[in-house]
Amino acid sequence: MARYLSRTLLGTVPTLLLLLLIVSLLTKLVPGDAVDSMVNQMGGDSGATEAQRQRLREELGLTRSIPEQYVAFLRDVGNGSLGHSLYSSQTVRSLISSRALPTIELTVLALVGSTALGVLTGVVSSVRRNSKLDYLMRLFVLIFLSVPNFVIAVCVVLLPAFYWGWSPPLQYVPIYEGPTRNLLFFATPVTALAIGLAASVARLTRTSTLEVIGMDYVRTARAKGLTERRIVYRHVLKNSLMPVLTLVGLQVGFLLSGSIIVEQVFSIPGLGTLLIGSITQRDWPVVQGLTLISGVVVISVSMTVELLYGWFDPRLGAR
Amino acid sequence: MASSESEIRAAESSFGSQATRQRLKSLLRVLRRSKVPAAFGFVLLILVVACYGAALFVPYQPNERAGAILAAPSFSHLMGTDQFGRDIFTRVLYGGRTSLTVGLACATLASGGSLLLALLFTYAGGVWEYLWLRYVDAWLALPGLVLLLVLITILGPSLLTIIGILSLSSTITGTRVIRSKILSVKGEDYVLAANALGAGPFRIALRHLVPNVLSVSIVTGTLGVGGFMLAEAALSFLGLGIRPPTPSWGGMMGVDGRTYIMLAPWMLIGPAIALSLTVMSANMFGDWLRDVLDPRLRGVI
Repeated sequence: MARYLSRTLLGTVPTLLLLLLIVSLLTKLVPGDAVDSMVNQMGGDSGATEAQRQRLREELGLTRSIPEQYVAFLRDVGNGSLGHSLYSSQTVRSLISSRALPTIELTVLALVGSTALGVLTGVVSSVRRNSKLDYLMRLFVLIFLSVPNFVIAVCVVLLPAFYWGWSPPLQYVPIYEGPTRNLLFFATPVTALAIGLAASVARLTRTSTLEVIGMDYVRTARAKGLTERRIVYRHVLKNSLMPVLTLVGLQVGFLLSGSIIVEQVFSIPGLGTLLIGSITQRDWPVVQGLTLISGVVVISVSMTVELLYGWFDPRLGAR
Repeated sequence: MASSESEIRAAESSFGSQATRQRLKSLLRVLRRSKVPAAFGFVLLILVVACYGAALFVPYQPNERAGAILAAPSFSHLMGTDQFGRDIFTRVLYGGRTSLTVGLACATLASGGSLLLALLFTYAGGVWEYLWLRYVDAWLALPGLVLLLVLITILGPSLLTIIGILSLSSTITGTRVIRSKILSVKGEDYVLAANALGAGPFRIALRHLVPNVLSVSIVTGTLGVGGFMLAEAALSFLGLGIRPPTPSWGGMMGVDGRTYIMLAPWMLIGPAIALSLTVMSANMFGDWLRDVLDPRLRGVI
């Protein structure tokens, strides 16, 4: 197990380095850099002459060559600061950590909610196969698989307002300041984000569970006289959930992208809005740092999924 | 030791063209039988015709002032008008051209490209293959939207750049799935037999690998159409995709749709229904195609 872990970890290092290289290369290609953006913000060309702009660029380190910038970034990663934002004087790390909480809360709630809802729907749908409940659930799954999450996001706010004259609280409140308001606020964005994912999970769970239910050992369990419920809980669930685990692992990337959109729609002060803001302002160190973080998250999730595989299926754990 | 050309061909014929002919026949049989999923294909066809041939169906232009502003749906304006008085139904149809073009073009480019790349790198083997896999992993670790946003800011939002970026990303990540299928086909008996008979790598690739891997390619491509359309819509929704006044479903739902949502909800509902319907039909059609071509792929793709 330890050897497997270390081998996987080592394998991720070149991936990460390549990732950073890609981002550094990209940032160098953008026409119009942070200095231009700053000047534009402060009122157009009248402000700075070309010489002044060039000096500012040198100060901010924008004139270094690509390898230099790459090495500098690696150094920043090494000492933990992840570079400095070109706009504020904060380190990228403090900027990210100050805005990470809403995004983490949104993503975790969406992940948990979608998996729970999806698995529940899928299992019920498969156990009561071809019943009215099954058809209804499959219809919902189909709908939510196709409707894009930003449409759901807008509808989720619109419909209650139209029909019931009620709209969910639209102001973000951190969880330590007011748990109820915080959770109420998150209900709508989490729903928007999670429901598409829940539909995928439900569909896969249903297929997988149906396959497992058809297997011989389930038939044996039934012949032995076990109740259906016990069969489902003890035998079926564990086995049918393996592909679902893979799917959930894969979908984390999708969750990250989706959270960017949802944060924008609901004006949540999280990492997604930070990303969009930094891209618009050409604040590349922040973009680099965020990309690194998201890459690390995705990679760690895949590693966790691999480890969980070993736990779920003892046959794989014998390495 | 190389055998003569005719010997190779004789040995291959029992696996190659005959199997393909049989498969085509069973495909036609299935097409004739299953009605419901094929109906989605029909819906998709209607949508494609309606959007590309929009000029034939609607009297208005997408950017002309056709009526009162913010008018509710009526007989003369099936989906109402927007804040400039433009007919929304027309804009939905014309916007469909953009979305469908992006979806179809990206799907074709991506599946073709990843097939080629996967063949190339799996055949190269060794260190090239290893490096390629690491590169794909790096690409996979980047959340799609982030990469898209960065590239769009670099290259500017035009139809061509959006298609290029979306297909590039998908081409690279798609090589993984194709590679696993290539590896499994490579281990099959007929490939080993062909190799033993002295067939060169190109011949094996063309006659045996490609036809069998093609099913995966087609299914991924078809199922990808919906995803590409959603990605383009998301970009336009955020204001970073196709710029107004060119209509596009995402853009119509973006700033405009949301600003006027209380006064004129039909501005949002029109494109929303269109997009969802198209993506749903594409997904259902792709599912059906997958079941027809290779049901074993059910849990994988």
